[in-house]
Amino acid sequence: MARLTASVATRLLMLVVVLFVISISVFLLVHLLPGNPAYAILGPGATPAGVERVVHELGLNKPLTTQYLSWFGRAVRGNLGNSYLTHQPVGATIGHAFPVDLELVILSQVIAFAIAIPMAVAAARHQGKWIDRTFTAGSFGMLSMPPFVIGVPLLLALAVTAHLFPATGYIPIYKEFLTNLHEMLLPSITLAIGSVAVYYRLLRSDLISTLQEEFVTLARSKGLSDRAVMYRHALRPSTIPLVTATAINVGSLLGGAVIVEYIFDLPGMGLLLVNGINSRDYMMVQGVILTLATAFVIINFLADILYRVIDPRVRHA
Amino acid sequence: MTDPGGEAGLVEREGEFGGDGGGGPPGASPLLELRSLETTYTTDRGDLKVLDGVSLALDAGRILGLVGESGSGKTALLRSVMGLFPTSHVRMSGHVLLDGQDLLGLDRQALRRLWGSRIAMVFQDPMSSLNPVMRVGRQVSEGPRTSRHLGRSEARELALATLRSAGIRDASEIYGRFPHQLSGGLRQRVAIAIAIASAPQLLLADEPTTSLDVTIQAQILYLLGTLARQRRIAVVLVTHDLAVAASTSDTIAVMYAGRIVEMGPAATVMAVPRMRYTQALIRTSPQAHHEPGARLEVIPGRPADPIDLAPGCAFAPRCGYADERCLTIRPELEITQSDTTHRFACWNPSDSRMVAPEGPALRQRDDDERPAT
Repeated sequence: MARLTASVATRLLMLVVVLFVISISVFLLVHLLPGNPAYAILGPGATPAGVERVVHELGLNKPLTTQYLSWFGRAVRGNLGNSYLTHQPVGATIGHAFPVDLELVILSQVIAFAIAIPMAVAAARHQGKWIDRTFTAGSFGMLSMPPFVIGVPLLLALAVTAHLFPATGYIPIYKEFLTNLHEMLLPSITLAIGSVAVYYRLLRSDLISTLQEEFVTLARSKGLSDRAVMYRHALRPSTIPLVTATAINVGSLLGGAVIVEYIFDLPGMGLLLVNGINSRDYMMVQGVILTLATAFVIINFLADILYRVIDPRVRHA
Repeated sequence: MTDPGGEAGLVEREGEFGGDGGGGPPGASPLLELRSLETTYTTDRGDLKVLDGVSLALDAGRILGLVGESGSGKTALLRSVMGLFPTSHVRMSGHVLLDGQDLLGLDRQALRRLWGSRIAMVFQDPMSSLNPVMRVGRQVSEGPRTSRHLGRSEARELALATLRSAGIRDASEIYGRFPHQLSGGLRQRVAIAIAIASAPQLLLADEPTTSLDVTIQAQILYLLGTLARQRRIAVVLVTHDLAVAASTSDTIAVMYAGRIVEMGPAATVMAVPRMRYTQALIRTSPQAHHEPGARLEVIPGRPADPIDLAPGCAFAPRCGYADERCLTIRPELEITQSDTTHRFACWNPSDSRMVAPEGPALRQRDDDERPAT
């Protein structure tokens, strides 16, 4: 137990370092963007004097290190500054948008597991048979389709034509649970397809090698049913690489979520990011990316803890 | 638990044992009987006959030591008795009789009902045969929970009792551990507990001591011997180590290229091996050399390739005594004149003269050895 605490403490320390590095790179990246936020704020009729004034107001004439330190100093205290454009606090705006992404990613992963795990189990049990070949070919197809290729036909067929789902609109989950799920289902499926393919392929090959293990033969020799052998003995050791893959996948999912939000018109981080970049809203872009990066790091941190739950060898190592 | 019955069986067993040197009591049907068992793996290279007409019988409470080089068909024999293969590319013929019931005709469902509850297995390396992410107690209790429909607490009690009879004293502490937290010897005891948890009649042990160090090896063999006698479990002990087989088994069967080439009471086979391969095995085992620094003898050549077997004796190409007949006509298992329980397949067997004078003495030794094993 003391070991676990020490290990969690080490992880937390690393988390702080990682976030510090990320904050610097995000800051530099945003300030390397060509263009000046003053033009975006003032619009087409900007005068040099007006631009001068805005730049001064925003502190953009100060050295980069000074700008960074004042932003970072406030950020660690939870203040991400105000949007150049709306003058609203960035933190509050993200507070409304981030739950949309969180829900989208979580829902898509639940869907992906619900589809990929039974598929992989069936394929591994009937390795080389038609079911395995069909699923494996299907997974190739899914891998080769990015969300914008899947999302648009899904939207047209199921929402616009068949009216089974709403095409646009969003209500927070805590306000109307079922309506929210109904709205989020199609975007989540769109985002899930790629994950299904990745998880299916990973789990299938891992299950096939786990099924060759002697402990699986021993489990069979106890007279257990095929189902018990598969789910009780083979699946759990095979989920270890799945956790790794999921944690790493979250990064690309957050990227994918931006596109899916755009297609389904969901008020998430994607919209904030795209608008922020277009208008050179440094504060907003920095805030959004820092939040996403923090989320990514925390999820990987949670995955590390999850290993200990799944694999006792790591727990006691 | 079947302990009371086991004790009664032990007494009865000893009574029979005094009257009969090696084999079972005449007339009574053996627990396990194989009749011309043939097993063929169909591979890309062609058919691979891993068992070629194996016949043997084993009584309850007895240990059969199955000896041979890798690839001789020892493991295939266990798998064939069990009907449990890693692939479906297997063809079998002949008979596997368990208590008179032929297992070869059974479907998978019926076989599964036998697994665990009537036939159980112990594997070579307990590190790889135990599930790394499951507590060992549950690995012991899940068999009886399935085969005997026990409840959670009953299964736990049974598992604890079984762990204790596998020689684990602090069973309740070990129960909650994971395999990697146990020593090699404890792990193999857990594996044996898993095997005997549902009180099987037949235990198939595939090199159960090969991955253990020598002191632990002796303890595990002693445990197997004790379980066989007390619970009247018939044990097939596969090993490549003749010394292991000799110290533990009642009967030794030597396999070569998918066939049994010599079979008889352990002490007899060790003292007067007739078949040339058995003889070579004994001569080349490290224990046979008494002079320090002497070079170990080796059997020349390689084990026979079961895909491409000569028509005669499979060992003939490596045998110093082989003649024309050995290369062309396959020898069958013959009974020795002096001892009806000792059989061997060899055209040019070693001298049998020593059998007659030393025969009774050997049996005496066999009796003396039993409590020590």
